[in-house]
Amino acid sequence: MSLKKTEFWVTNKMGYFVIGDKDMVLGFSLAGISGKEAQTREEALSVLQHVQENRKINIILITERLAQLIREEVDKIIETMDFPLILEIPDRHGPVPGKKTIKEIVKAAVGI
Amino acid sequence: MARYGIAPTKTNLINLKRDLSFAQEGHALLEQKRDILVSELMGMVDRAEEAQRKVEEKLQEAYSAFDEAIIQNGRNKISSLSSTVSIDWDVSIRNRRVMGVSIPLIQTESRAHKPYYELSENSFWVDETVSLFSEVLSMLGDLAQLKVSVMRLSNEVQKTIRRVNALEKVYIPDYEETLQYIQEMLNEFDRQAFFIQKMIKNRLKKKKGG
Repeated sequence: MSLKKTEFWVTNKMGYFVIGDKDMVLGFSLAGISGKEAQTREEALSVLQHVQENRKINIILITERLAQLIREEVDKIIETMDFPLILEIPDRHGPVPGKKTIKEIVKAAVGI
Repeated sequence: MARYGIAPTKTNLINLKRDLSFAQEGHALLEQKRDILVSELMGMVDRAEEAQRKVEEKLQEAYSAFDEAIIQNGRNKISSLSSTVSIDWDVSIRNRRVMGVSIPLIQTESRAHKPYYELSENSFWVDETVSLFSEVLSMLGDLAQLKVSVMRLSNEVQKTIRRVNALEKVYIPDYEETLQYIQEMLNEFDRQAFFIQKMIKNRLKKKKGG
């Protein structure tokens, strides 16, 4: 098996950023993470664009609900860009019903 | 569906044979790529699910502690407290490439500069919220790494499978059919030429005899 591996350090001294509802932003700010509240698709997109321009942010935490509003943009970033990484996490109301689990994503792709 | 539009010549036959062997080679390579990607993916799925479950549980705990803190201290107090909390998060991302898919390797580090606020005037729940959200964050690096890898890998697997199938079910049969067609035509031409030669020979013989 010939795996081609190239490793390189992208960066150091970088951090998280939160895009979410009021509670999530405030909650994570108690752990020292900056964030911005967004409610509509437009707000989320403008925050996202802003965050992408900031080279100091390499992991974006976004609520599942917001991610669903901007699904295309989120998927594009996840699939095509090395960073920032986007991670969807549930908001205070728990996971969004009908969300695809990791197993389901894989099953859809591989068919196993 | 073969490409019958092509002229049945020896040159085209040779070219097509070369193309076919190239396509077959590509097919074998893509199959290999698919297998490697799938094995990489399968190693990650269970770990990713586990990490996600843990994070979700922890996050719910954190949210409920946060609720308590809000109830006891009020939202304004909490948001002014939040600006005093100083924890440095240091996230570094390396990329590993597996068959052209870049897979992140994330390392997170945190340095807390305690204490953040006067101990006497805040409730237990504020401390609890801070520590729970910090715990969640330290788990998120792992989850981000696994989840992004799984999504990128499964995307690539899907593409590769599509290519393998296209080669296997469309292109290669296509080439084979066209090759067969050209081969048959060439044989037919040979027979025709042979027959014409025979005919000419016969006529010449008749002329001589007659």
